[in-house]
Amino acid sequence: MSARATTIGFSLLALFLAVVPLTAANEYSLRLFMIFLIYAIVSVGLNVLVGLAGLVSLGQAGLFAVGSYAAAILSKRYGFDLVASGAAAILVASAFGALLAYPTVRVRGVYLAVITIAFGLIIENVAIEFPGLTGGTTGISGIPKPSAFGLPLKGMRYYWVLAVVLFVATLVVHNIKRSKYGRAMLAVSQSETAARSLGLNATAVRTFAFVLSAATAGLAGALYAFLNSYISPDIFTFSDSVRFLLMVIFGGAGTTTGSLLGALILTYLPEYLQQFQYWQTFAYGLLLALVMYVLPLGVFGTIVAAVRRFRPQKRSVDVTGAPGVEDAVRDAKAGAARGGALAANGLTVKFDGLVALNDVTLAVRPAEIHALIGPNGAGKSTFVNTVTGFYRPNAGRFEFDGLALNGRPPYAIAREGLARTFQNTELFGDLSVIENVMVGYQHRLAYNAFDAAVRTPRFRAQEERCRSAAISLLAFVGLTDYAHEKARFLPFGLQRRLEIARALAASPRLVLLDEPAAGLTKREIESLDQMIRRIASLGISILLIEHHVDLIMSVADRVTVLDYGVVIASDIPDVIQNDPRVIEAYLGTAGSAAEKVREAS
Amino acid sequence: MSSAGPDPLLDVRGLEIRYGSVVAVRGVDLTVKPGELVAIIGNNGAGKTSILRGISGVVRPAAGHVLFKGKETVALDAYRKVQQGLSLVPEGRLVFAEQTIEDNFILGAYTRWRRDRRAVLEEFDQLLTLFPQLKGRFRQRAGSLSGGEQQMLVLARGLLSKPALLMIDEMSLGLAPKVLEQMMTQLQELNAKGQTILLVEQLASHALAIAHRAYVVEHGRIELHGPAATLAGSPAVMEAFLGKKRKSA
Repeated sequence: MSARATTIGFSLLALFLAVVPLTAANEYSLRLFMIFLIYAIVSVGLNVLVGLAGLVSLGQAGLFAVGSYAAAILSKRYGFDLVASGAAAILVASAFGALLAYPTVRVRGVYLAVITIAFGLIIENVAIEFPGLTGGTTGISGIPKPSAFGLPLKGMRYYWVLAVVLFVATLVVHNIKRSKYGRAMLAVSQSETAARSLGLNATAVRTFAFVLSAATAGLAGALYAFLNSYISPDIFTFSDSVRFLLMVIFGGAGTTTGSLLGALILTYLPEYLQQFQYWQTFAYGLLLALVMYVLPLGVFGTIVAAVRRFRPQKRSVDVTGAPGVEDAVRDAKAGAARGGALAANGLTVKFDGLVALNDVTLAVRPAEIHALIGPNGAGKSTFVNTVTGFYRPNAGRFEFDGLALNGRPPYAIAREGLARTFQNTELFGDLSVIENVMVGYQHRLAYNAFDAAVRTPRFRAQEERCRSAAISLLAFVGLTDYAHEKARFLPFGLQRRLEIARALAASPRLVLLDEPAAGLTKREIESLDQMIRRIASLGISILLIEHHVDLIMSVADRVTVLDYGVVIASDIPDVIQNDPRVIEAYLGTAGSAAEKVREAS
Repeated sequence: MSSAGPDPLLDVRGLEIRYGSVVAVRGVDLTVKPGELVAIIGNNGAGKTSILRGISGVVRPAAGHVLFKGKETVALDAYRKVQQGLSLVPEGRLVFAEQTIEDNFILGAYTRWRRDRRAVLEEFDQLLTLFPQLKGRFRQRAGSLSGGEQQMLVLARGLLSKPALLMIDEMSLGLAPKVLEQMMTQLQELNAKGQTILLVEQLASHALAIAHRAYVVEHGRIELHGPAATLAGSPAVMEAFLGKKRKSA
């Protein structure tokens, strides 16, 4: 969404929140609207988890309950006011959110959904079975009227509290979404492998998403306790969790407006359907099914898609003012460019008895273009996956500029300055081309969550630098015409170039290019040839895995040949080209090398 | 297109393919006669893959006709086309990663497996001679194969559906030079035995070396077409796709 659309959107929201109480016919309708405000806080927060991080929680009512009970107990027993108990509710719920995020290290998808359901059930059960603390099935009544710093906040005043909290929460969540945090969540959900290879700690990103959605649910729970002055376990059931999730999906997962709209519709719909009496639930279900069938991206998501269809956005991006590639790949303060040296010693990797790498020793010197070739299945990609931390070697060690990297996770290795591309391309398909490159820049952005939430000057300056670096890298690989296109719509060959731009955005000292020429025409390979030389001239070391012999012989300083996991040769291109073992194992009669051999004999 | 010869097996007329508001392919006319090996060449983004997707039914064309064996198939779903003998080997090594190589083979022969099991099993053996790298790893997860080996598996799977027309997108992807040469020879042999093939290939020189005819695609349109040998000798094609000859050292 553009900056202008955001301003208009939030102005409309403010207007809506200010006007509605004036139109409220009676106490009941105002109260219903206040319930909507509370649900909307949950929905906006849950959208971060579902719409951005791509994780499904069916236990959100449990977090809502945790916040509610925390606020109720603290205010009733210990006299906490609205602010203190609200803050406590956020803290307690966040702690539970972090706890709930832990299983994502191992499980995703439906399995995670099951865990969140279990969490909701446990919370509900604890509320029932610990009457000393929670009042058991009868719940907690007589929760004090809300007040802050001695100021009572009854009636309309409480309405304004809810309206302001919703407005601020929505703004904060929306700002987080438009920052490196939002991009990181989308990236991790779309290709965790690529995200980790760019220095993103996937577990931390998911935990942050869980904590954010838990904090909002906890806060909403506290506000609910004060509104109702009575809470009991039957307000926090599994079906409430389902409703919260429905709000996000029904409105349009991933869009802030959608989660507000979803909360609005699903708060009011059951009320209007009451006239159907026995058929109420049936009509509700039918309507949901129908709307989701007609509007598969949710109400707002489908509207956005339709608008884009009729008013296509500009795909290209203007390069004027973007820095040179040198500046884009290097932070000014990092000093002079310096190619990294990778040294692998005796690496052995086994899969179920199959030896994929057998005692492989390979050294990439600073600013060198080193090619790694070999027959299909020789272990080339295994080597790349091992030195980038995705596989653990069974024996041997590898170091980067003298720093031992064995046993480090991929994101930590990436942050040391090792970037890579992928043989089968691992792009963030639903992010735009330019956003893909900006994710590559991610670990160079030093601003924190507070900067992002309130958009400090520091945040703006760094985001601006990140964007212009991305533009300059897109220009470098020739993709500025596609900048605002979704990455998955790019043809295969251009996807490879995007991966190179994304890897360079991470400011690497060494890049591992895994078959960058696959699927390119001869002419495109020639321009890739130039690109690789240019990258090396920036002082970045390159490990190039390729099958296009002409390209290798043209650009490589040295070539290492793998066969059945063993290094069979490592030398300058001319020597490799005429090595009979290499011809036998790899080049065959097709290679230009072999032709030379034939001519010579 | 010469007037002589049999009716085309595949006759594409005025094919147009859109993604949202973007027109990827427009006004493409293309024919493949029985027993032919036809190549489509062009740069990345030219629309080659989109043409194959439109023909195979993976994407529904916005306009145009796809006549297969003389019948209109433009509105059919991809799986129905496969049943009629129109089979696509897509680019990007789409193996069923969690299933074994054997299961991938069986799925390739899916339309014939029940009727024709014995013949299919014999073909398995033939294919394993063709791709010795897959031999002995028949019960292994397909996802554990290397990139190039997955490409071999996808090709084998395509052949197993015994299609009247085999369409291959980007066969060369990630194949070692020696293997690529073998595969190209095998395609040629397969074609000599009567298999009709439509090939999309970035490595234009390789494709033109084995094809009878070829189409050159640029910006979603057919710019040139003719006998492969003529195109290979055309300066325009050489300049655009084959790259200028580098000075040999």
